[in-house]
Amino acid sequence: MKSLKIFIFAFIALWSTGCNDMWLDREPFSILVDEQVWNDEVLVTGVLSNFYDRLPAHYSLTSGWTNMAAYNEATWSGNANNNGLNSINTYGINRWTYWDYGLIRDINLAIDKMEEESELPESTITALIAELRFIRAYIYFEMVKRMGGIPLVTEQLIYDFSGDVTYLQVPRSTEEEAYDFIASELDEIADQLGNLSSKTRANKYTALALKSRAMLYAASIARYNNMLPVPIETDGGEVGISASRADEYYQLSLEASQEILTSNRYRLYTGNSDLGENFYEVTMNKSNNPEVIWAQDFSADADKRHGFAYDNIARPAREDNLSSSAIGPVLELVEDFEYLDGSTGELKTRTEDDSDYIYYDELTDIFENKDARLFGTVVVPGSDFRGIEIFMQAGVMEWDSAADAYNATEGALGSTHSDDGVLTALGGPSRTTFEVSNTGFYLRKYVSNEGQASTRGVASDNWWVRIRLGEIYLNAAEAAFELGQRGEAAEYLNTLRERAGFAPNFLMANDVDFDLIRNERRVELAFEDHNMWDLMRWRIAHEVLNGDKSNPGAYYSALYPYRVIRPGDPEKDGKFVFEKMAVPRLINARFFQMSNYYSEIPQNAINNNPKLVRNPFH
Amino acid sequence: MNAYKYIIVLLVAAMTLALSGCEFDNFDPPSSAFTGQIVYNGEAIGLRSTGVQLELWQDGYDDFEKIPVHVDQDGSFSAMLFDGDYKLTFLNNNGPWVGNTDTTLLTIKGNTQMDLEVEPYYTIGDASFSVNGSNVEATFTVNEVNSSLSLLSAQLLIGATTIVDAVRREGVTRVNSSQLNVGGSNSASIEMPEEIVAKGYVFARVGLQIAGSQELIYTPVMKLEF
Repeated sequence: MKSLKIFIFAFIALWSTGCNDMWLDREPFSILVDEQVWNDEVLVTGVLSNFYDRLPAHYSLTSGWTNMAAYNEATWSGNANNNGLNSINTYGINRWTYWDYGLIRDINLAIDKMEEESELPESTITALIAELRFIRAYIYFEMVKRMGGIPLVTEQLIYDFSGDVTYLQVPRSTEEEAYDFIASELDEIADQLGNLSSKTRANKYTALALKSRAMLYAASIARYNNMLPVPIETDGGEVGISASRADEYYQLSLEASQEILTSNRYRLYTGNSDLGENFYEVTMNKSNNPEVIWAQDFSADADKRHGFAYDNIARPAREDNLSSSAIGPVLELVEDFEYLDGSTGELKTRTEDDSDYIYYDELTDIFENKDARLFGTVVVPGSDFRGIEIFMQAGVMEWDSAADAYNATEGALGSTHSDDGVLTALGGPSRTTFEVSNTGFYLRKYVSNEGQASTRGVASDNWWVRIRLGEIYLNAAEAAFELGQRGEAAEYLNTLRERAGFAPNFLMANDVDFDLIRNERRVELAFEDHNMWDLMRWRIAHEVLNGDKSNPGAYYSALYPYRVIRPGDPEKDGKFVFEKMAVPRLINARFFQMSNYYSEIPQNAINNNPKLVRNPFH
Repeated sequence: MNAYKYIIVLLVAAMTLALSGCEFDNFDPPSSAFTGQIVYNGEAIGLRSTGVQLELWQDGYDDFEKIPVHVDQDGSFSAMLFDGDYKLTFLNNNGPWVGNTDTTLLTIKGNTQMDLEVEPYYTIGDASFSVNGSNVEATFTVNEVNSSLSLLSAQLLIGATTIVDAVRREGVTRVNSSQLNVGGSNSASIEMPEEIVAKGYVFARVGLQIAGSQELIYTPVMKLEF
């Protein structure tokens, strides 16, 4: 018994001496504490990188890219999982909802910690806080364009356990206040930001570029919302901007654009003498690209990759055994690219008196002399992708002299006709087959042409361009036009169009009108998440996407090439003809309703904060 | 052999126990039907199917969420509810009528029927349809009730199913407000697509589009055979 007591005593003694005084004060191995994070520039950069990564996009290369096929740029040609994109009958009122106050809180917390805890050099702290405020301003811009006025929270909301939470319930700002807040934040931080050589972190010019875009949005809402028969607005101004402020906002946007353009820090990308290829490289080339102002980067080395090429590469060039061809650009988009002589871009498939097809020697001949941006945006039949010819033929047209008409025959992909020639090409187009073009076109923009980039194993690491100089030219042109400076607007547009192959100084001041600017934005910025937002801020989305199958703005067409078999007529035999038709897999016309202009505030946000006013029609 | 019998008896006993055992799901589903119609002067208003939403709220429970009630194309609505007190509200400017932000208090006890009176901006009625060759022809009257919003157009809509509206349809013709005879009789016609002609029947209705209102006000859907 005694020996046991001694043993226990010795055991306790051993343990109490064994641990040192710091037992309860050790550094944790699994988490980083405040003073470690905010005093180490590398760790703060890690925090920033997390925030950049959480920035929203309605579509980008990773999040929601299928939405490229949900509006008037493309339809879905891919697998069955997303067939719904071809039969959208209305857009839900929460389709564009974005309400990320978790991220806002994280940023406000980071700003507070930088102010209170950080002992980094003063200039570093200022620059990092400016960068955090830039990210916050960008998020508020993304919110206001979707939701209208939002609660502008700029500090942490901390509960005081008093039982009263009303002081935490921040009401919505007016839409005007939200845009003014964004402008004043960007003005304050522009000169504090560093990162001048970075294309992925915000610098002074990124801030100016965001201001150029945000002020243009505010201006066009001020102008065009009030032109509706009944403007969309709420009594408290949470939605709607007074028309009297339009000119002021256009002016602010124009000044921001001009500052970027005159700084000469950025210039349009002109690295390739093949103008179509050059336009493709504008968004694809990551080394020394002088045009990109701000991008979301990917890197194979850091294992940050995406499968955009896997899903969207043209079928004949695919390297994986599945997927491909998902986004099918529609004929209406292709025809919006003008001819270089300035005529409208309508493709000529029939003779002028509509008595016969026009016969083309080569598939690409029909696209001759079009705006070169077309070839950087879309893979047209017969063009090359990564050195592979994307041959497309839907079938053959056999002349029946007795009936004095053609008989069209279509077959399976890669099938051979009875004359041993191709019946239906491996690259389609096909009316019913999945994962091959359904519209007669493939997407080229943002689809990586690196070897193995379209495989799931290797995947792609090309970047998503958030803002590039091309947009700034368009913003400047639009703002100048709206302010009555049409000569200046023409100059901006001419610079951009010269790169696309148009003659210098092609447009005169009198040529510039709203439709021209709208079309320039559509073709230059296609598939860059601009098109729907533009239609919304101009308040024409409900007229363009009006749910009417007879309206080419809402219900789209395909272009199918056929090989002619007409042995008696060497002028026509073996040539190609083109047939325009409704996109076979597209079921419903797109229908954008008045209630879609502003998205629904989440019900749980309203439940928690009764001061939130609902948006119109919700 | 005896052991087997023993095991089987045990298994049967265990299964019986398992079957009669749990009583966790001890709520009955809601069983009181709340039904009604959106009416003007006692007449139901024709709408787009699921276009208009009413909200029901019930105070006093943790889970304070709205119960959305979608209105059918004939203006009727229904919901299965638990007995209790509810608040009913219209969504802001959701329907083709003058916005009404009043809350209606409502007690559900057994099946409850309640019509909701609204004031439309315009009404459309006396619709008659006929088929002439491959055309559908319609006559209808348009009346103004409240002039605070202006009329944009009348639309003649045809469809292949019983649900026809501005979203689900096979064809539409619009008559602009400048050509409309408000307070009198109007007409419109539309050519049917071939697929509809082949079917031998078509569904049709007319609707009015009002500036600043997302939803149209419609006449009832008519089936025409030819």
